[in-house]
Amino acid sequence: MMIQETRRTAPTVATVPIANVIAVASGKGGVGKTWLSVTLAHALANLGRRTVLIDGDLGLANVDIQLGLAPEVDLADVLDNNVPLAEAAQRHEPTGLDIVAGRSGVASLATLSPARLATFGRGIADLSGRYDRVLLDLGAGVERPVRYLAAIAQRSLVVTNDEPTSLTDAYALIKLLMQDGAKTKVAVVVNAAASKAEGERTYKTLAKACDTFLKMTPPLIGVVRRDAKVRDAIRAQTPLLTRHPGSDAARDVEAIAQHLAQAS
Amino acid sequence: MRLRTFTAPSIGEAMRQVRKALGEDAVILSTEQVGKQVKLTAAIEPAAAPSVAAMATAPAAGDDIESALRYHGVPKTLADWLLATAGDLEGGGPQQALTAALRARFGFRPLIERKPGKPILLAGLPGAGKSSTLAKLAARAKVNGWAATAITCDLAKAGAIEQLATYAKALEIPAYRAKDAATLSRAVAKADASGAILIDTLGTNPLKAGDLAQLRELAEAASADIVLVMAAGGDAVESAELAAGYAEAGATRLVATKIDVARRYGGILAAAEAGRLAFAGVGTSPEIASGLGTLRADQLCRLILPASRAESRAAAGSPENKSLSGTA
Repeated sequence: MMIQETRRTAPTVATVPIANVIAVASGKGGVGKTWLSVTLAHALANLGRRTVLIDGDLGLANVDIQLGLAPEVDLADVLDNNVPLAEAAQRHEPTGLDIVAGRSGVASLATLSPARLATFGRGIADLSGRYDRVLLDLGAGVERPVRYLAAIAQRSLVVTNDEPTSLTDAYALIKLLMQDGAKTKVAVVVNAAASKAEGERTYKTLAKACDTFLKMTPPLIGVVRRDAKVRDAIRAQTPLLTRHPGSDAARDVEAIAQHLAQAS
Repeated sequence: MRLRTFTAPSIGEAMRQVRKALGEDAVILSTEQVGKQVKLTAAIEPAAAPSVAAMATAPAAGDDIESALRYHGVPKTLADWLLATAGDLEGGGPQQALTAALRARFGFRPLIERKPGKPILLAGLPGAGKSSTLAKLAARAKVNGWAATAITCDLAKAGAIEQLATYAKALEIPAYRAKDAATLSRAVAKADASGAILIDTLGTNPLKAGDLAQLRELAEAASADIVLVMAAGGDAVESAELAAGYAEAGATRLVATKIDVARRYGGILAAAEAGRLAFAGVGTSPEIASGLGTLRADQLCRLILPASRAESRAAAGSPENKSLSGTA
């Protein structure tokens, strides 16, 4: 009987998206999704937007690692111990961001029960009232929990690079969101592009696939150029915008942040 | 979507490679000159499960979810719930709405995509398709590069052991016989635990408590997951009662077989509902190599509510698009 009840209350993805929430997803891992989330959030904060970054990549959380944080409370406490999401948000002074850290190696998002997932979703909705922008760094993959969290976001940025596997997985995520009837506004970010033109070419490949097979074309929100300074900043556990302001990648991310800061 | 890149000295040669690798339906996504070579990115979108989609010939009335559910003989309570839920999901069309409703109601845990962490014990009525499902699973395991071991507990049926031996020999996998829980446990211990361990059982009668107890005993001895193998097309009430029996013995998943020779799928929906069984796969043809597919919510939806012609054309990529893409 329990199973049945859980199923009945399982969140469907046709949820009304929450304003201010921006999900960053990719389908495939290793495309720079977490780095992009951190840097975008930082850029939004620099633009004066009150911003919170939630590390939703439960299985392989590393927002805290990229920022050199030692979180006292993290998402696992929210999900396991009913700590309110707002209490888990901790100020990161150097960036002016609030961060809800994930925790690596605990239960992954993919195994989260529908009930807890729905609770998490409600927590995000509550939290969104306190901020101008809520960034949600989603785990890799296209499983239902990932799609559910993308669906509750007003916008979902799908991150890809020019590798066929990355394009295929980005496409799969977009397709599944469509099939779910998700009302989130999907836009594409091409990361680690050799040049702006190359990045646009990568986008066009993905857009063509979406147009042909799905009869929809997600817009391009930005191309982030490949930049050795990104790696340097990640190694130094320092945000790119702090360590290398004015670098190519920094400017590209700032351009996306401008867009996100204005558009609702 | 299957996406591949091709590099060749000329666009004609690249196109030939594309057709050879992906077939006539491939769509060119981009072309690029790299030095003296042409780099071409192409993709095909296999209709989510071509065999399943092609088979869904049920004359359900247009796009009407309600009449489709009625046609398939879906039990009323379940049909009402699906209708109400699909109705709440406004926009996106009936297919998306029903897919989302099915996804919310049922579990979908495919057997053949991931290497099973535990032995799989196939149970079901005599003639449900357990042995061929085992062979299909073993074939799939081989294709995926996993080790596979076949064990049969069906020592009673004439020719059962010979059948398993034939499959095992063709697939080059070890096969064992087990006459009871103790020998099954030993056979499992001998099997390569890093691969798929597949156990066939004697056709059981779930209405007999003794049969179910024996099934439970076998599953416990093998630490196996019980997967119910059930032919589609059965009466909904009958299928539900049978599934509830198997669920009591510990079955958690359902493989629906023989959907190519059935037209009404209310039986398997009722079975999954009554036994709270997740859909694990679908038998689409007698072919051992290709006759077992996944059954996800969208595919299940397509069985019940076939895409209208326009939608199937859109899904496959319309001819207009193909000719356009050729010049892109």
